[in-house]
Amino acid sequence: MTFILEGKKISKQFNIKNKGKTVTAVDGVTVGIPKQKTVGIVGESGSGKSTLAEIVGDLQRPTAGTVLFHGKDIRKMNRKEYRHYRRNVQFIFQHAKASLNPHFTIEEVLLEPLWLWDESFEREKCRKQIKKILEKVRLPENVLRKYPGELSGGQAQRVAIARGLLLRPEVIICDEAVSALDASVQKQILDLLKELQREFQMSYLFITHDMGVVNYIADEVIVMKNGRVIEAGPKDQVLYDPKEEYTKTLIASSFLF
Amino acid sequence: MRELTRNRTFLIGVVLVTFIVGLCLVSFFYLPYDPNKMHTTNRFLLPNGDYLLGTDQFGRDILSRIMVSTRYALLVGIVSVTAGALVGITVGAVAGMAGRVLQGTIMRIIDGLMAFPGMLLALMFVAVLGKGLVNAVLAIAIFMIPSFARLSYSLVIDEKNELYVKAAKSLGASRFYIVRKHILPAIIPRLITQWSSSIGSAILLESSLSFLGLGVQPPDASLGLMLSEAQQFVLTNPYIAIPPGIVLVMAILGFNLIGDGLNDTIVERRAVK
Repeated sequence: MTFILEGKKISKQFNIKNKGKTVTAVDGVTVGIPKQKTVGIVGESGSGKSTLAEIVGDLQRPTAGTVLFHGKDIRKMNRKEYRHYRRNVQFIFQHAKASLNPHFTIEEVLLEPLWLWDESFEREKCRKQIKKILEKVRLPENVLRKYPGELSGGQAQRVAIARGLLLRPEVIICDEAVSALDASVQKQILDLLKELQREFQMSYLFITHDMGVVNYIADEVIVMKNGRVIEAGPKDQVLYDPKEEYTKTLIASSFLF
Repeated sequence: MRELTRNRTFLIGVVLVTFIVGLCLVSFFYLPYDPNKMHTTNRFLLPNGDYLLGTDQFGRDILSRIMVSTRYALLVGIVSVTAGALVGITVGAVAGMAGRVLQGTIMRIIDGLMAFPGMLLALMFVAVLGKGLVNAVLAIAIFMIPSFARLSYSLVIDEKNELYVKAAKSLGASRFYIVRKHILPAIIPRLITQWSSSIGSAILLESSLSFLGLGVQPPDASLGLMLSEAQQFVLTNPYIAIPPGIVLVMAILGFNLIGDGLNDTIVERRAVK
């Protein structure tokens, strides 16, 4: 299978300051994200799933292993290719509000990606683009004048999604993107993500500890524990016919089944 | 803003600084006497109707000399701290955003500079560059660099861990852009606090240099120089040391109190947030 974004044998070790100890957060994990599919990574906290996501999105450097975008090692890319990668891999974080600069209005937040990428930045044209995106994520236009602090968690997450969408990325990495939201808002956001995936043909790497969320959105599932992959495969196989004891425990301890 | 106007420390500081700045501004339009003109018949006068703050050992009007001195105090204080702050903040920000090696190198140099006592560093520079006002400004500016670099470094490191900075990075923002648009605006209030407190110490340092005869040169007037001249007559005419001493204390205290007041309100607000 060909993947859009791929992490090969990723390892990450942290040196604990002043103690001379190293902690292995991710231990030789391989993950591939196919076109227009959602790969869900589940695991309890501390299993290394967020670190893995940040490595694949190049917000952290791995200790070992390579990240490939369309089959090309991102460390061996020239400037232009790397820019292409950077633009096409976007993030949505768990704490959406904290991911928006508190001193920016929502309009400024949304203008930022366009400002960074559009060489002939025209404010009016960009405003139109922003209004279109707001419709897609179903936010009223009056949020543009507000500051992040004035938004609800769900609204802030929609703004964060809109910001990512403005660049028309091929992959969005959702790091616990709905974990901080109420159950009803969670479903709205997940439905929105599914709908946008179809419309813009995006792939998702979906990090979560919630088996219900994975079941709802993922096509493929990777179960992680202590930095290693315990079990991986299509959703139906992993969630409904798990081979590993750990996966079974995870499923049994969730509300899902 | 409301918190600031209710902060007593800040208000006292503002009153003191306003007084000093007022003296300085008035000195450009009106001086009771020529500050350098000697009246040998009027030496060591105590305050009276003609000389509001009395006269010194050459019969020069102390009030006029103090008013002219505040020009130097403020000029040296503000110019040297601003120059030192600009360099220091830049160095600190670069170190904060740099990779591990560059970061370590810069900060060790800064640590080394910080290990020198301020006066020693200033004396060293004056010894190399020669005495005089400009060199005093330069020496004080260099002395200010490390503390600003340290502060801006730690603030940048702190701010760098904010999620919105990570988000900006994933959007493809360059490090320069992130510092300019996201980090600097967030840390500027703390830097202004430091700027204000530092002006107080810069004024003190200028006075010390002038006291030692390395800053402002006679016959010009500077608070430190006036104190140094008064020192010779401390047994016979102790009065002449008092006015410049009080004004010097007011200037230093004023800027420090403003800094403290700003710090209280800003740090408090951040803690609440």
